[in-house]
Amino acid sequence: MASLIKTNKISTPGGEDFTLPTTLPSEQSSLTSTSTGQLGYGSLGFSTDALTTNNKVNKDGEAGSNFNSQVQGETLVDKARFTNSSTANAVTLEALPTLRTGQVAANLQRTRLSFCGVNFSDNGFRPSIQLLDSSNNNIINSSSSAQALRSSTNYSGNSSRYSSNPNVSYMPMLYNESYRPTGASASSELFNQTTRRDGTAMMNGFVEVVCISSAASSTNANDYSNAFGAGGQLLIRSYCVFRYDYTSSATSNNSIIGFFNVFSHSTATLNQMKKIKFYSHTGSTVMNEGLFWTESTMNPGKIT
Amino acid sequence: MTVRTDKIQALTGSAPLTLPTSLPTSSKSLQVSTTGVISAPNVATTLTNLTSSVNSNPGWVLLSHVEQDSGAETITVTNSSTTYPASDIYCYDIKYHLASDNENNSAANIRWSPMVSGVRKPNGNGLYGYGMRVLSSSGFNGTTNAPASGTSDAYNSYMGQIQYKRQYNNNPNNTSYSLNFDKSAASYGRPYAGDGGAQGTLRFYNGSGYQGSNINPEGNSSRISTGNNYTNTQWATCVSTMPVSNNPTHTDKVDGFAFWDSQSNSSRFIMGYVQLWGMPKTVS
Repeated sequence: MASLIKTNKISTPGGEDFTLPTTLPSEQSSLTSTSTGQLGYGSLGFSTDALTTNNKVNKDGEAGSNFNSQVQGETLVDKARFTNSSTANAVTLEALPTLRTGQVAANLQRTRLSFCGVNFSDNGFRPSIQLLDSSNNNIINSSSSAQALRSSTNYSGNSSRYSSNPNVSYMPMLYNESYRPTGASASSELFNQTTRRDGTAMMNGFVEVVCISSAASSTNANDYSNAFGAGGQLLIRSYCVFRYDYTSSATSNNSIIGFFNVFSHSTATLNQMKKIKFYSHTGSTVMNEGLFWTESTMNPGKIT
Repeated sequence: MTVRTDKIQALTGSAPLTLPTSLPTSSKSLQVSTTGVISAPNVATTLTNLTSSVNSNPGWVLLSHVEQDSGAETITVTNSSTTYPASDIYCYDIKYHLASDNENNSAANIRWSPMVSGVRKPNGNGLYGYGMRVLSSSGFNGTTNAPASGTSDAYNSYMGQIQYKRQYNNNPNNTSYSLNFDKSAASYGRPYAGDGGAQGTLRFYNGSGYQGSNINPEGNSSRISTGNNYTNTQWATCVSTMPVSNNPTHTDKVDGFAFWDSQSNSSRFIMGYVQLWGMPKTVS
């Protein structure tokens, strides 16, 4: 007849005490437990948001056993999706991953925002980005100076270029307002649409930002970013393609315009960028569809 | 209270529970059996995708990689993932380096098509696209590159085309893709795959009806000259396909892609590699 023994320690034949586990580790792997006491890892076993170098390296990329950190490569940081039942006026994604072992600071070196299948409620959409600090404030202020190079091309085979000071509080990605992405309100998701529908911009592309904050360039004489001088800098490149014909049956014009945007910026004070926002800088256009994600690399000079 | 024993008879009357005294060397897929034995199956440590820092959402998933060493009529890649099947993929990213094994110096096209359950299903006629390219003769300009075709036979039914130059099939060069990476075999002055072919990236929006390679930031590089000088290098991008004159013919989610030479029915075969990545639609 079985009897109940209450204990949390059992001795092995050798006499060692064996303490029964009462909690699971807080590891990210998919460790599981059942009510019958069986432990198991799931088939995945582990996950990570970043790849790292094979060898431990210093900030100059020199390998050596005396260095104590493996520099991470590109990190997948954030992701968002909108559907016609879950719309938004703007999307703001985190660009800064969490601190990792060995990191004493977490300055971004580069962030890439990718977007895919983006559609809007109307044709007034002016795609723009803003770079935000941890308080959701635009890191670019009134003392900023900037230069931009934009170019676009469409079905006619021509390309055009434009260079001037862009607006300092936002960065519109369009050059030619005659070729805006068009959209329409939608009662269903284009991703699952099986018949023609008007107003499908299907905007796709990416924005890459290199951000050197003014603090990063002044606090450490050995920091490589000091080479850029006092103040902060932004280097941006973006690419997007979209359909600018509103009607789905239009065949006179080929439907996509390609677009490049190169932007540089310097200012006396520039906070560290933490987030990136994608939105329309005019109007009340609603994004009714699209997938967005951010991938970042970290400043290697801030990893010990 | 300490109980001195090496086995505990399960209170339910089943098999005795053996106490573990050591851990396996690997923690991958660690298991504890009903008799209390800890084991670690011989499972390779692999990672198919990164997981986002915020909310642990899935990133690009490596779905397939095919390397075709000898010339083949068609090269296909398939998403056979049970974790992220075709219905879960918002867009694909297809990386490729393709070369011919036949007919040196002839200009040709590599055609490609999305597939559903192993069958090519391009939403062809009625699709309109637009691209950009750089030619040595005219510089940067636009192009209505690669108009799709959804009709006719298998060789002429495609969603897009990649212009390229074939190279010669002399032994041992180009009878084997891997030999092109062998310096002694693919030596200077002899035809080799680097003399022609195309490399690049397609990004494919996987909508049910609205689908196509409408994002292609990298495009592809290929040589389309028929001479021996690199006089006509092309960089093309952003070819888009939209069902503008008809409703789409095929509305299933795409689960693979096929590549072939436009004259593969005349033994113009291709070789190389194609890698398939997918971005899951999943967000938490």
